[in-house]
Amino acid sequence: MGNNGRLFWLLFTGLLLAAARTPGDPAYPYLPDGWPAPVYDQSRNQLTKAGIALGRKLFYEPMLSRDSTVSCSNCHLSFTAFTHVDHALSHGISDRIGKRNAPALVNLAWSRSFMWDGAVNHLDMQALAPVSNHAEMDFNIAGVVNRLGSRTEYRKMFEEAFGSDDITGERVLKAIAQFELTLVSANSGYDRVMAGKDTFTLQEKNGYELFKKHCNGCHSEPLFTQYQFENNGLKPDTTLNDRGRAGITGNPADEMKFKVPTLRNIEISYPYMHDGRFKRLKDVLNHYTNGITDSPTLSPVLKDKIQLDGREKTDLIAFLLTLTDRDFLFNPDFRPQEAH
Amino acid sequence: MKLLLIPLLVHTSISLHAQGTRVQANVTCHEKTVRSGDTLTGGTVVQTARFYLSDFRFRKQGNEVFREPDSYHLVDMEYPESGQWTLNVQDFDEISFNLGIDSLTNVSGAYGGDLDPTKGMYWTWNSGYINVKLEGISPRSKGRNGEFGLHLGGYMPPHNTIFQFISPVNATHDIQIDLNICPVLEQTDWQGHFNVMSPSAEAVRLIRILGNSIRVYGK
Repeated sequence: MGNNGRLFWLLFTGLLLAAARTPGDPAYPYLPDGWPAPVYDQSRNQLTKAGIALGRKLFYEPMLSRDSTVSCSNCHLSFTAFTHVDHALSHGISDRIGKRNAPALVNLAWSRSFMWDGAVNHLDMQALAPVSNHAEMDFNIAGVVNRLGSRTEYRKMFEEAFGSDDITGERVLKAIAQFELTLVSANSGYDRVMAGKDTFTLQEKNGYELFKKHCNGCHSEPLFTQYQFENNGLKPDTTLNDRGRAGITGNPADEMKFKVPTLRNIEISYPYMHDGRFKRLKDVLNHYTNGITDSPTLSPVLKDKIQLDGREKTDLIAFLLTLTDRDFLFNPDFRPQEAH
Repeated sequence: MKLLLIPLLVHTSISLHAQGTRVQANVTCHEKTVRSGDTLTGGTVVQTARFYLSDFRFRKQGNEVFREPDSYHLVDMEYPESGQWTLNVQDFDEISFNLGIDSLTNVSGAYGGDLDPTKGMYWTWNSGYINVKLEGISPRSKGRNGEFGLHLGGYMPPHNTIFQFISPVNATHDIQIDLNICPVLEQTDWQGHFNVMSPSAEAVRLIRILGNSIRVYGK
């Protein structure tokens, strides 16, 4: 067969494969009513059932770590709002301890940056950081691609997801992002009340009023964050010397600023703060009423002392518990495939 | 019937490429081509030299006559063929391209080909592309065993390290691009900045030296 003949068949086969793929699969997570438009641009990574299935498998794949012992799910467990429950600082391979608390993975399509300090500028690229971090997976994306390429099962799944069995860094990252984009939490008790399908108890209602007065400025509804960076008055931990956003920008105005986390599923995602210093919601509220450390970069909304008595704190916590979304926490589509 | 057109289209495409302009980008020390492990002036040995060149455009009498689609090229001293490609343009008197990757691409997620993160030209923390990577050993470097590593990247002001190169060129066919690394090695701060690994003022200074050292020749 001549060169042109070979090219013809290559092209023809490619066209057939493209036709077999269904990029318009209705796999995108639902966009809850009243929510802002997602930040993530799907035009470069159209979600498909096959892409999400591949991303899900990769999310639970220990081969992403150097010694094949740790997967993404080790620090991001589905039952605990995709965070590392009960660990102030998360650990990776060989029990190495990192320097921050693993953030919850939820509603990522709306986030403009990733990590507590915004070190990563796009969801696609986020997975590169834990894969290569010494205290997490201590590996590299080229090594991951090599390993996956030796597995027939993966080659088949890449073909189903992307139209050919080529395994590349781009495809690995996009598949993981596809799965992560499905992690939408929007059916908590709070959401049902807002939709008129349920009502708050009197205590929750009082808590909601207090929330709107004291917390909503930063933890704004409906995402319960605006993904901005703020210094919330935590006393610097001299064992970590974490400068937060300033470590990325080098700007003194960003000193001790960290990304405001969502409060959705906050009941489950303890311990709290970037270094996991608070174990209970009560500790968090006590910090905001009595523990603020003033500094030039302290959030302006915390300059005036927040006043809450014991009963008000209890009411506020009752409201925060309405942000727990059991449909999200126990969604079988978020667990490893084998667990079905 | 439609399928029969496909080989014709392929054939046409090949023919056009054969008539286009061949680009040859080389890593050089002034005019001399450098290969991995060569000893340069002052005893400096460069082991790694990798450059992102992007957004190639060609003009004739001030009018753009060709802009390369998906124009991203990783020129790697280790693989001379990485600096060779053909463009579908013939008649021009000016060329422009970027040394580095534009900010939009930096913030738009994962890409493949030369931009694939497996190429080792992407920072996993303070994320973004490394526009130029120079590594080696120099007797002047205060680094461990004389090692140095200049990883020049950053897409946000004030540490934006993309450099736009523009030059008249007398060519109707092939062009040669010399990526001259010796001026930057002659002006490296061997005492204080033998390792540059994040967006910084030093990275901006060095990328400007590299950008201003590029030369394009028509053939």
